[in-house]
Amino acid sequence: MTTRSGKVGDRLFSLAGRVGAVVAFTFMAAPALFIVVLSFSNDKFIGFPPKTWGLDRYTSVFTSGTWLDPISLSLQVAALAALLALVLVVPAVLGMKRGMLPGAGLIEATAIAPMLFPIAAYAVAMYAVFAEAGLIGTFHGIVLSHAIHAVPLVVIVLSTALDRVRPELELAAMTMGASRARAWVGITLRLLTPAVLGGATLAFVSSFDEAVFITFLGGPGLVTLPKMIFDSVQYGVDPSITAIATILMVVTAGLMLGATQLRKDVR
Amino acid sequence: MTTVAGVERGTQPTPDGARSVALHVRSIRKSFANQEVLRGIDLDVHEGEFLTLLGPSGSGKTTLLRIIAGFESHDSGEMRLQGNDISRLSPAQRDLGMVFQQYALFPHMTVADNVAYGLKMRRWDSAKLRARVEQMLEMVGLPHLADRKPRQLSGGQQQRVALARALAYEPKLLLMDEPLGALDKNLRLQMEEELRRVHRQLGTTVIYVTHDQEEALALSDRIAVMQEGRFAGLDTPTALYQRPPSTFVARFFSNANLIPATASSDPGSEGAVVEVGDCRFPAATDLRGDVMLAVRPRSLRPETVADGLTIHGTVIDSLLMGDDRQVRLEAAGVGPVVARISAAQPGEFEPGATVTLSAASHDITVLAP
Amino acid sequence: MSAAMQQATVPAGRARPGKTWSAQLSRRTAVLMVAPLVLAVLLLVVYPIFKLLYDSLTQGDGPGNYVEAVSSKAIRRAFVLTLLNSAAVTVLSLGLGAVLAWTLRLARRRLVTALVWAVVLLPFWMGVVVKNYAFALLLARDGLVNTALRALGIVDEPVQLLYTPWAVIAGMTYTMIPYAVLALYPSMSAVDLELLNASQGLGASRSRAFRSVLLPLVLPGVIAATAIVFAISIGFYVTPVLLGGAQTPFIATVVGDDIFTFFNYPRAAAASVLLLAIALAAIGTAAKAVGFKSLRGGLG
Repeated sequence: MTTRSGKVGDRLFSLAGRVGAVVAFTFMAAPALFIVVLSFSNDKFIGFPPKTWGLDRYTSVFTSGTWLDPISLSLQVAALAALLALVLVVPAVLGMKRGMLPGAGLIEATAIAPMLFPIAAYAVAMYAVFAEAGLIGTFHGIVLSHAIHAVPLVVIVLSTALDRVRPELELAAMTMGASRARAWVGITLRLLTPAVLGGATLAFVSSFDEAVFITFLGGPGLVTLPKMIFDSVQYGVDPSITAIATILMVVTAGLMLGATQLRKDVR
Repeated sequence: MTTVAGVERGTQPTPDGARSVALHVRSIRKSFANQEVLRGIDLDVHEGEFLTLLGPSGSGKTTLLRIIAGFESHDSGEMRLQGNDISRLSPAQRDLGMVFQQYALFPHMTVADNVAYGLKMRRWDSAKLRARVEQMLEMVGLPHLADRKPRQLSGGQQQRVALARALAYEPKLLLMDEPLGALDKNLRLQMEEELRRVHRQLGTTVIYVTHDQEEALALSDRIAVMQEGRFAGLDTPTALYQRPPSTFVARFFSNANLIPATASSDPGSEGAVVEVGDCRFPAATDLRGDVMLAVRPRSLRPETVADGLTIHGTVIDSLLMGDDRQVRLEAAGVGPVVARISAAQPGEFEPGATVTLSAASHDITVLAP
Repeated sequence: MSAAMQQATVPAGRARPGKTWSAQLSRRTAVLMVAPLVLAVLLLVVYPIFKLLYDSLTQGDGPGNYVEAVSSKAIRRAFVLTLLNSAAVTVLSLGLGAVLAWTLRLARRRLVTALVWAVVLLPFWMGVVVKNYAFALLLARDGLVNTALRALGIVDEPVQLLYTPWAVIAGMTYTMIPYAVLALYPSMSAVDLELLNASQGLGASRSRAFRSVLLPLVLPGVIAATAIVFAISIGFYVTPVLLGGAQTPFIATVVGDDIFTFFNYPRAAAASVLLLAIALAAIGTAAKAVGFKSLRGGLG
C-alpha cells in the first residue's frame, strides 16, 4: 500500500515525465518542420508564417547556378571518400576478425577514436599536417580527410556485422570444396553486403554533411555544399537555403533509413 | 597405459573384419600455447564405419575432428585418407563432408541451394545436380521445403538439411561435430534413428563427436573415449561398456561403481583372488596389489552368489525409473554404491532399509587404480 | 614466437611436417589486409595528434604557447564559456534524451515508436549546417520565438536570443540529443518492466522505484553518454560560429581565428591540445568507470 502523499508524488512524477516527453518531442520536431514550411513560401524575405506559397525556392536552386557547383563537388567528394573508407576498412576488419592478429583491439580502438575527438582540435591538427604536405585546398586532401572522418562509422558498422557472420559458414563452404577466396566472396562478403552498403551510405552522408574540415582544410577555392550554406548563412541569408535544406533532409533521411534497413536484413 | 591398450584394439581387425582402412591417423600431436591438447593419437577408421569420439569437454575430441577436417594444423604425426597424405591439403581438397553443431547453413541461400553448394563446387551439370538435390532432400524427408530459407526451418529440419548438404557429393568421410547438441531430447532420439537409417542406406564412413554417452551407444560401430588428449579406450560399444579398459572409461562411459580392492595370487590356481573387506572371490586378472573393481549398477542383484562380490549396506535413496529402481546405498567397508534393480523384484528398498547385493565375478572388471 | 613454441613441443628426432593447412588466416595475409587502414590511421590520426602536441611545445614560444593561451583573457574566457556551455548541453541532452529513450522503451504502438525515432534522428538527417540555420531563423529578432513571446504577452520588445550563449546551447543540445538517446537506449531497453512493477507492488513510490531499480541498471549507459556528449560538445565549431557569433566565442572559434585571422598557429595548437586533453580525460574517466564495452556500445 502506498501512502497518500506517495500517490500525489507519483502523479506529479508521471505528469512531469509526460510533459518532458512532449517538450522533448516538440523541441526535436519544430526546427525541421519550420524549415520545411518556409521552403514552400514565395515571399521575397523569410518571415513566418509565409504570406505566399509556392515552389519558387526550389526552382531557384536549380536555375540560379550558385548552388549547382557546390552540390556537384559535394557529391564527388562524398562518393570518393565513402569508397576510400570502404577500401581501407573492409579488408582490415576481415583481417582483424579472421586472422586473430595481436593488437587487433588496439587498431580498432584507434580507428574509432577520431569520433570522440573534439572536431575543432582534430581539424587544427589536420591543418598542420596538410599544410606540411601541401594538401590544403586540394580536392584529394579533402577526400582524404573526409574518408578518415568516415572510417570510425564504417568500422563500427562492419565489425558489428562481421561478428554476426559465424566463421563456421566459411569452414562449411571450404569442406564442400570452396577455396578460401571463394568462401569469402560467396559467403562472408555476400552476407556482409548489406553492412557494406549501409556503411558506405553513412560514410557518404557524413562527408556530404561535413563542414569543419572543409573550413580548415579547403582553402578559399573548394566550396562544398555545407561550406556554401555556412558562408551564406554567415554573410546574409539566401532564402533558397530552405529549399536545399528540405531536399537534403529528405534525401539524407531516405539514405539513412535505407542503410538501417540493409543492416537489419543481415540478421 | 590405457592409450596402449586402446591402440592395440584399434589396429586389430574390427568385427567388420576385412574392410579396408579409410582414415589412417598416427601419432597426431597438437599444442595450443604450450598446452598439449592431443598427445599422440593413433586411429584407423574403416570404410563404412561409424566411429564416435566421446569425451568430456576439453578432452581434445573437437580439436582432433578439426585437424582431420583441415581447420587446424597438427604439430606432428601422420594422416592419410584412403592412402593419401592429407595433412597439407586444404579442407576443400580433402573431399570431406562436415555437419556442425549450429548447422552452419548459408542463410542467404534456399535449402536447395545449400544442398547444391558442394555439387556446384564440383561443377556438376545442372540437370544431374537438380536430380541429386531432389534425391538428397527426399532422403531426409524434406523435399517440400526446397525453396525455403534456413531461418524458416525448425532446428531438426535445419540439421537434416545440413546432413543432406554434407552427403550430397558423396564425400570420402563425413565428420559430425555434436550435430544433435542444439536439439531437445525427443528430437534427438528421432534424429539418432534417422542418422542410423541414412548411414545404413549410404554406408558413408563417419566420425562423430559427442559428449553424450547414450548418443554414442545408440549410433556407433566403435567408440573412442577421449581423456586429456589421449584415447582412454577404443572398442565396440558393447565391449567398452561391459569391459571398460580403464577407471576413466568405467566412470565416464559405463557409469560403473568403482570399488577399491586388493588382488593377490591364488595359491590354488593360476588366477588371482580379489578381496573387498571380508569378501573374497577369484577373478581373471594379472594385476596384483591395489586395484579398482568396476561394477555396473545393473550387475548388482539382491541375492547372494558363490563366486562374486557381496556387499551389505543401508539404502539412502531409492528412485523408481519405470521398469527399474535406482538404489543408492552406503555399503559397509566400500562406500557409496549405486545399483539398478528390476522394479518387479520383491524386497524392501526404501531409505533406511538394510540390503545385501551381489555381483557375479564375470560381471566385474578388475582395473588398475 | 609461436613458431618457436611449436617447435619446442615437437619431439626431437621426428621431422616436423611442412606447412600444414589451417583455417586461420596466416599472420602475413592478415597483416597485409590490415596494413592500409593502419597506415591511414597512423598518418591521419596518430601523426596529426602527435604533431599538434609537438608543435605546441616547439613552435612559437615553445611551452610558452600554453602560458600565452592560458593568460590570454579572450582564450580563458572562451575556455570557461566552452566548458560551461558544454556542461549545460550535456545535462540538457541527457535529460531530454533520457525522456525520449524512456518513451521509446514504453511505447507500445508502432506509430508512436516510429514518430519518436524519427524526431530523434532528425538532427542527423538535417545535417550540421541546416539545423543551425533553422535555429538562426527561429531565434532571430523577428523570428518565430520572439513573435510567439510577444503574442503571448510575455515580452513587449523583441529579445536578443541569437548570438547569445543560450542560442548556442539550444543548437548544440539539438545536435547532441540523438547521441544521448542512442547511448542510453540499449541499457534502457534491457530494463525489465516487471522489475519496476514488482518494486511498486512492494510499496515503493514510483519515483523511488525509478531511483532504486531503474537508475542502477541504466547508470553505465548514462556515464557513457555523458562522456560521449561532453567530449564531442567541447569541439563544436559550426554552432558557436552561426548561433553565438563574435559575442560568444568558443574555443573552436578562437582557434579558427588564430589560424585564419591572426596566423598564430602555435597558440592555436596549444589551445587545441588542451581541448583534446579535456576530451580524453572525460572519455578516460568514463572508460575506467564503465569499461570500453559500454563506451563502444554508446557509439552504436
